[in-house]
Amino acid sequence: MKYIVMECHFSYAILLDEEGRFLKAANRGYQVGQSVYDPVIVGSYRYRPPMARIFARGVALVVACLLIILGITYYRYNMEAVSTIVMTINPEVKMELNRKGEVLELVGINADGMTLIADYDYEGKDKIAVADALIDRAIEQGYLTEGGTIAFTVDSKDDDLLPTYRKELLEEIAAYLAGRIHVEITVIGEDLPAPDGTTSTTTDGKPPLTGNPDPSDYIGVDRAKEIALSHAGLTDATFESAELDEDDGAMVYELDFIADGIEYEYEIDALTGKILKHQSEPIN
Amino acid sequence: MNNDYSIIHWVKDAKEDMATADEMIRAYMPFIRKETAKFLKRPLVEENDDELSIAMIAFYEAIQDYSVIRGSFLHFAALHIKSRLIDHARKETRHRGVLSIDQPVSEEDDAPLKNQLADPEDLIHETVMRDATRTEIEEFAASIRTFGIQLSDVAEHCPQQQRTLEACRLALNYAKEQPQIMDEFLRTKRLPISLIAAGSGVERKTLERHRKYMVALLLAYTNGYEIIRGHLKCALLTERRGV
Repeated sequence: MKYIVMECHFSYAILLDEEGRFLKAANRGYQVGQSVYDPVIVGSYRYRPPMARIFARGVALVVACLLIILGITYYRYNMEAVSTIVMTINPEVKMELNRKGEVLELVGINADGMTLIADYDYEGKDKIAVADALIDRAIEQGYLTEGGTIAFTVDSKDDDLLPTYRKELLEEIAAYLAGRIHVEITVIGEDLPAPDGTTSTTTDGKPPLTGNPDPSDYIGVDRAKEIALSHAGLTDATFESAELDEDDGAMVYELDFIADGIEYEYEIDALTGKILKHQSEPIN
Repeated sequence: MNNDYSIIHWVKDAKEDMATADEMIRAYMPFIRKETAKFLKRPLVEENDDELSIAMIAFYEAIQDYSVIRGSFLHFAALHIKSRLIDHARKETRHRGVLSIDQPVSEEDDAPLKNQLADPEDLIHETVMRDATRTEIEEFAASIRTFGIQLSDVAEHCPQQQRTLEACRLALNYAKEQPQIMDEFLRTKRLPISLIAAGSGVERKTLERHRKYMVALLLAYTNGYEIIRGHLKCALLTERRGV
C-alpha cells in the first residue's frame, strides 16, 4: 500500500492511503507530499499475549472452577448442618449433623444436658458414637437407670435420611445397650410415617414383642379425635365422651360427639388409628 | 502525588485535542528518549532515529488508551512504548542481512552506500513531483480549513471499519455525480447530508459521524487536486466496477 504524507506534526504525520483513509502515523522524518510505503500507524498495535499465557490463563480458569465446585461439595457434605437430633433422657442435648451423619455441633438444651456434654469432644464423630458415649455418661452420672427412657427427635432437610436415622438409632443403640441395662428408646421424627416401629424396647437386644402393646404406642386420644372428625367431614364438634377401652382384647378409643344436631359414635383402634366402627343419627 | 494528578488532567485534555497531545509529547521528549535508549541499550545518536519516532507514536497511543484504572500514566506509557518497540524490532528482523543504502560503505569510507549507486533516472522528476504534491496538499489543506476542518480532524473521523468505509465511498460516488449537490456543498460550505442520504441509500447517522471525512474527500473531487485524486483513483475505480 502506498501512502501520501498530507501533514507533518512534531510527533505524528497524517497520511492518505489509496482507499481514501486518512491515518495518523509515526513521523519518521517525513515531508509533506512524500510517498511512503511502510508507516507505523496509530492504533494498529494490538498487544497479543503469548500463547503460553493464554493457555495458562485457561488452565487457571478451569482450576478455579474445579476448586469452587470441590469447595461447594466439601461444604455440602461436611460443613453444612443438614439434620438435628435431640436426645432426651432427662438431660436434653441437641446434635447438628452434616450430610454424612457426623456431629458438627453439640449443645445442651437444659442444665443437665450441659453437664452431660461438659468436656466431651464430639468433633467429627458419628452420631451413633456420640449418642453411645453420652448414654454411657448418663448412666455414670445417674441420669439413666434401669427402665428409663431415651427419646430422640430427628429432623432433617433431607427427608430420605429420616427413616435411615430412625432405623440406625433404634437398632444400634439397642444393640449397644443390650445386656447391660433395660431402657425404652423412642424416635420421633416430624415426617416419619406410621408411628408403629418408632419404638423399640431393649429386651436384651430382642425386638419388641408384638401383641403386648405398650401404652406409649397408642396414637393418643387427640389423634383419635382428629381421625374421627376428618372421617365425619367436620372440623369441630362437642365431645360427649372420649375414652380408652378394651374391646375384644384390643385397645380402642370410644368417641361420642355431637355436631349440627347429629350424634356420632366412633371406635378407633388405639394402635393403628383404624376406624373399627362408626355410626351417626340425628338427635331427635 | 500532586504532580500525578496534573498529569492525568493533561492526558485527558490531550485525548480530546491532538495539538495538546503534540505539546505533551514535546514536553515529555526526554522521557520518551530515555525509554527508547533503555530499550535499545545504547544512547540515541541521531535525532531522527526510527525507534524514537515509533516511541513517540506509542506515547501518543498511550495517551489515547490511558484510563485511571491502569495506574500511573508514565508507567503505562513506558510499558506501551516498550511493547511497540518490541513489535517493531520483530518486524525488522525480516530485513536482517539486507544492506541499508544509508550505511557507510566501509570502516574507512564514511560516505553512505547510496552515493555509489547509479542515480535513478527520475530523481529530478521525483523531486519536482514531490514539490507539486506538497503545493497541492497545502492548497487542499487551506481549502478544507475554509470549511472549519483540520487534516488531523479528518484523520480522527476517518472510517475505521471496511464496511463503513465502503458506505462512505458509495455516498461519495453518488454525491460527486450530482451537480446540484456539489453546487450546494460549495456554496453553503455545508454537507447536504439529507440529500446524500436519500440519494445514495447510506444511513444518515453514518454520514453524520464521518461528516469531516466526507467533506475532505468530496472537496478533493471538486477542482484541481489531480495528484490526490490520482492517488485515490484506483480505489474508487474498483468500487465503481463493483457497483
